[in-house]
Amino acid sequence: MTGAYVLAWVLPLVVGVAIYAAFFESTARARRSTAVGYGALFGFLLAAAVTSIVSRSDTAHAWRTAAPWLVAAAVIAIARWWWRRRGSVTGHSISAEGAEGTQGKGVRTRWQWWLMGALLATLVARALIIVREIWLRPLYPWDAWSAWAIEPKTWMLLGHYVPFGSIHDWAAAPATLDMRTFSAWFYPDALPWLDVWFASAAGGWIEPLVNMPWVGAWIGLLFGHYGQWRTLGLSRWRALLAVYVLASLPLLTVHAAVAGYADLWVAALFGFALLAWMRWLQGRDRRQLALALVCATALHFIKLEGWVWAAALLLSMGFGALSPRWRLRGLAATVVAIAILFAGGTHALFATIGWVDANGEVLLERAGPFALLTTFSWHGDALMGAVNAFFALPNWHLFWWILPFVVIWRWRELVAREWLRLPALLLLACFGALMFLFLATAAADWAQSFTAINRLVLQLTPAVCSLAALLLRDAMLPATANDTDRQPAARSDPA
Amino acid sequence: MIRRIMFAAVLIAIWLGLCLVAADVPFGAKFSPGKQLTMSGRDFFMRTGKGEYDGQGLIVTSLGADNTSLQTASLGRARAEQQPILRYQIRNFPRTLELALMFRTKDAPDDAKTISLPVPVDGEVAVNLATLPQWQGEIHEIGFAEYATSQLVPPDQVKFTPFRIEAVRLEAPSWRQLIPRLRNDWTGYKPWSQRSINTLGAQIETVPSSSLTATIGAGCLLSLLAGWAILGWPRRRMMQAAIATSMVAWVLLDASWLVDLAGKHDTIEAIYADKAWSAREALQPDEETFVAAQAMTKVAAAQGAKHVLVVSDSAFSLLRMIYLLLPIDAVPLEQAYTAVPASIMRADTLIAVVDCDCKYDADSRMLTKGNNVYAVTPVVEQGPLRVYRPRQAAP
Repeated sequence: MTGAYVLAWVLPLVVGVAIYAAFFESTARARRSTAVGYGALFGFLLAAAVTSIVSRSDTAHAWRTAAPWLVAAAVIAIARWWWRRRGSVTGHSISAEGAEGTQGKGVRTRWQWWLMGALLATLVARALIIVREIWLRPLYPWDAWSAWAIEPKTWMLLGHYVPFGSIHDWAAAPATLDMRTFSAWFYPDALPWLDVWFASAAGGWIEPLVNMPWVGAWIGLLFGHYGQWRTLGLSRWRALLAVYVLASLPLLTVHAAVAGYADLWVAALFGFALLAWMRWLQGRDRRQLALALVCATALHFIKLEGWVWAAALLLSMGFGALSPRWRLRGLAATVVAIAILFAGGTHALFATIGWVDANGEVLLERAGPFALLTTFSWHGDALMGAVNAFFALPNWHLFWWILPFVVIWRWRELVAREWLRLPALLLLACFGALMFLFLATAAADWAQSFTAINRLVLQLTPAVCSLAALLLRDAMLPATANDTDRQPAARSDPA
Repeated sequence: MIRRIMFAAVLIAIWLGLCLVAADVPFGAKFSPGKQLTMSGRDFFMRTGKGEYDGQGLIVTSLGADNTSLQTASLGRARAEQQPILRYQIRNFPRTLELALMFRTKDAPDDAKTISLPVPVDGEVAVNLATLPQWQGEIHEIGFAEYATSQLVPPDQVKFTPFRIEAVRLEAPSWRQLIPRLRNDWTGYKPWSQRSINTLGAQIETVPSSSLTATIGAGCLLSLLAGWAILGWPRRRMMQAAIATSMVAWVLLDASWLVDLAGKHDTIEAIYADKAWSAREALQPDEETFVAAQAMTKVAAAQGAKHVLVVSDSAFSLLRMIYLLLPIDAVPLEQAYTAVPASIMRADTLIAVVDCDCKYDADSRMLTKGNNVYAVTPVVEQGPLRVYRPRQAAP
């Protein structure tokens, strides 16, 4: 490992944290943790974006050409952060945001903290195993080498960018154009460019060093969620317990250890967007609304599903901003739009954007997985696959067993608080869309073979974990009949 | 007091019942299987590899030249349908190896059928073969085959250590399968596979595996319901019990996952640790494809080829070849031919054949793959790789 590679890690982290601190954060509780989590992902994605713009002609030295831009961004962000900090310190004292939450102030005994320490120690053990797995092994999982790494490896080893297109584009390309093709040529290329950034810093296509950011995404996801949970009202103990729950989910660990897929990044960004939106709903902090919008719009740069999740997030945010009367109209409009899509509108939409050939056939090479939305048929068998995926396979421990009981237990809280209710509706809609995909389209095979179903669920799971954790933020055991002292904690939540 | 005793009895019934369901023990099954076919390790003979007998069975001491081993035993008469439970006891089985059951039936004595089996932990393993379509008829020979775990362990990196086949039984379903079945399903070694990124659990789809998550989830739920119904737990007590049960169950499942993860990782350490990246990079589970890709890179450079069209019977080998050939412009031959037939005739194009039963006819100079026939000129044949140059077919 070289100094350049270390710098290639440090620079995105510094610029990401600085941007978060400068533009999105105030004085919230656990803001450092939030800044590290969001900052890590922002930094990585910014490094990928800059590399894709300035390093196309010399990918072998991509990090050298891109680094000055990141340094400049870091300087600007740090200056703005310093200016904001100075202004707030010399101006007036500021209250710690998030203090309005009830924080579940239960006193913890020493053994409870020991238990927490032991649980968190298992997370450290997991992190070490993940790092060793990535460090030791050549790129392993199927789609990683058959889809995600094709572009960056080509660009890196050629020393410059070449375009990728469909097999027809490839066949029709003139001899002077070095056009390439592979089955997943239409995938978004943020992660491929991130690979180029790290590969160029490593001095070649060294797969363990290219894949190491996946452990960064895993850790960033945990830090970001912890920080936002604290700000949204979780006590330290409950937030740490929730971090343990999230980090112990086996499939999440697998996606870090067996690096190369994009689902972990989508999960992190979707979870971050939802949490920032929750903070906007709870405290009307415009910076958090902007943060939610940034995270939502970044999703489609990672993976195709990002378009769907981004649309769901943006529609939900728009829905939440409407007055009750307009919400009803918005809901009716959404139902009508969905009905139109089912009644042939999808095909018409694809024809408009050029995804249909002259014979009216959907071009699979352009529509990709969205082609599934043009033919509907009931696949009841997939239901058993879905039930198995949630409740029997060892991917989630007891997460999906426990979740319904949390919702039932905290139903009143869920209904009463808009900042919980709206995100819950969003997640319900997302899972409804997934179930529709598996039960009503040819994607049913993905549920029965336990392939994409688990990865798609993974993309939503950190957000669902957030909802569950925040539902339990001030949950207390019911009082006994003669225990008048034990009342539910005061709810001073302004929302 | 009576209620508590009743509660304890119900708890035992719940958990035992769930374990029996998980282990595929049918309702009404006997405790003991009755008729069973028992073989000692000493009944097995080495077919490939080397072995020796000791008092406890057959010790396989080395693999054969192709890094595989096979041991077989002749059976008297065993009806597959009546004896679908296979129990086997193999000690010190190396984690880098995959285990398969080989058997022949009286109806098709020349057709050796194979089924992937769970890697045995020390102790006995039980699997239910009843759901497998191949497991029918009269079995007259049975055996075990061992080879490097596919798509995970490079065949040269097996790091073989001797193991002993001690006992093998075929029997009817009974309660006796409960412990060996659940112990292996729930705590046994499950190597990484290409399936792991999609789901954990049993990484082989051939034999059914029981779910620890579903058993614990259902067990906790039913136990709490029993506490509420029998002991009349008030809401507060019920909540306390539910929280405590959930936490304990979660930690148990997580401990099981950590053991699984550590087991998976141990294999990776055994193969790749203490090696430089240049050495680790060459340790691909599909060594032949890696070697073929290296050879093809040299051929392409020597022939001045800009495009390589790859053909293979295996999607895995095809895509691996394309990845390993980068940055050469490599494309699946059949896909290019189907989309734009003329595209395969471009200048500076070679065809690479790996892991394929494609037939080349020297007289007609045609390469046949399935229904497609390509006019080609042979360029070179090197180990697992065959290279051709496309040519215009005679009109």
